[in-house]
Amino acid sequence: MTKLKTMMQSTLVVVLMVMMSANVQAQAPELSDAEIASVAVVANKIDVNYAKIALKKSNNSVVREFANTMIKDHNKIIQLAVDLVTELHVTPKDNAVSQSLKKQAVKTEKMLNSKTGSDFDEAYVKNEVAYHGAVINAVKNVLIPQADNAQLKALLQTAAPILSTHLSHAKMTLKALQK
Amino acid sequence: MKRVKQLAIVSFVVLGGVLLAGCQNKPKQVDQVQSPEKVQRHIPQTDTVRIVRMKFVPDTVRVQLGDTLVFINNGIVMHNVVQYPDQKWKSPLLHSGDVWKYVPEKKGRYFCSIHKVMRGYIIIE
Repeated sequence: MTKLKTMMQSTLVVVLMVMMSANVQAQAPELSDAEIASVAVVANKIDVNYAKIALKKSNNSVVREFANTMIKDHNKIIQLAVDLVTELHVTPKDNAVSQSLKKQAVKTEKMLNSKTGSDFDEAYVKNEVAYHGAVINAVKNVLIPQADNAQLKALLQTAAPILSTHLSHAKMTLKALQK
Repeated sequence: MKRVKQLAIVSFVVLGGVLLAGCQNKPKQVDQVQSPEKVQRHIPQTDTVRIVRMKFVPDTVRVQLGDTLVFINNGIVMHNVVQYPDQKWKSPLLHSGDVWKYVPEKKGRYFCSIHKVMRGYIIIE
C-alpha cells in the first residue's frame, strides 16, 4: 500500500509540478483551451496504450476485462474530444503538461513491459490506480476550472465520473488480485 | 259479487307487488362473493431508471409484480444491466441513448458488468 501511495503521489507531483513550473510566479499555469484539449487527448491515449500492453501480456481474465473497459471508455472520450475540437475549429496544442505526461508514460510502459505473469498484473493495476487518481485531480483542479469554452468544460465534467468509476474499479480489481 | 271481485283484484295486486319486491331483494350470489368493484387489481406501471454519470438513478426502485422497468443510457459510454451476482438475466449492451425494458419477477441486486462498481436494487412490493 505504501508503494502504491508513493507511486500515486509521485505521478501527481510530476503532473502538478509541470503545471506550476511554466509560470515564474509559481501559480498553476494558464492553459488555453487548445492546450487543455491536448492534455485531455494525451491523458486518455496513454491509458489506452497501458491497456493494450495488458491485453498483450496478461492471461488473467479479470485484468483483461478491466483493460478492455479502459480501451472502450477512453477511446470514446478521445472521440468526443476530437469531434468537439473539430467542431470548434481548435487544433490541440502540445504543451509542457502533455509532454510531461508522454515522457512519464514512456517510463511506465518500459516498466510494464519488463514484467510478466502475476507481477505484471499487479503492476498494471497498481499503475491504473495511481494514474487515474492523478488524472482525476488534474481534471478537477486544473483543467475544468481553466477551460473557457462551455462545451469543453462540459466534456471534462462528463469525463470526471468516468475516471472516478475507473479508479474504483481498479481498486476493486487490485483487491481481487491481492487475495 | 262486486265486493268479491274487488277483493280479488286487490289481493292480486298485493300478491304481485310482494312477488316483485321479493325478486328485487333477492341477493345476487355472484356479486356478494366476487364484486368486480371490490377486488383491488394492480394496473401495471412503468418506472424509469436512468444510467447517468456512471450511476443507476434511482439506485433502488420499488415495483409491483407486472410492472416494467425502463433503463435508459443517458451517459456517453456503453453500459449493461445484469442480475448480480449470478447473471441470471441481462440486458444487451446499451450504447448512449439506448433503451431496455425489463419486467422483474424477483427482488434483487443488479450491476453493470462492464463497470462492476455500478450497482442497483429492485424491491418487489
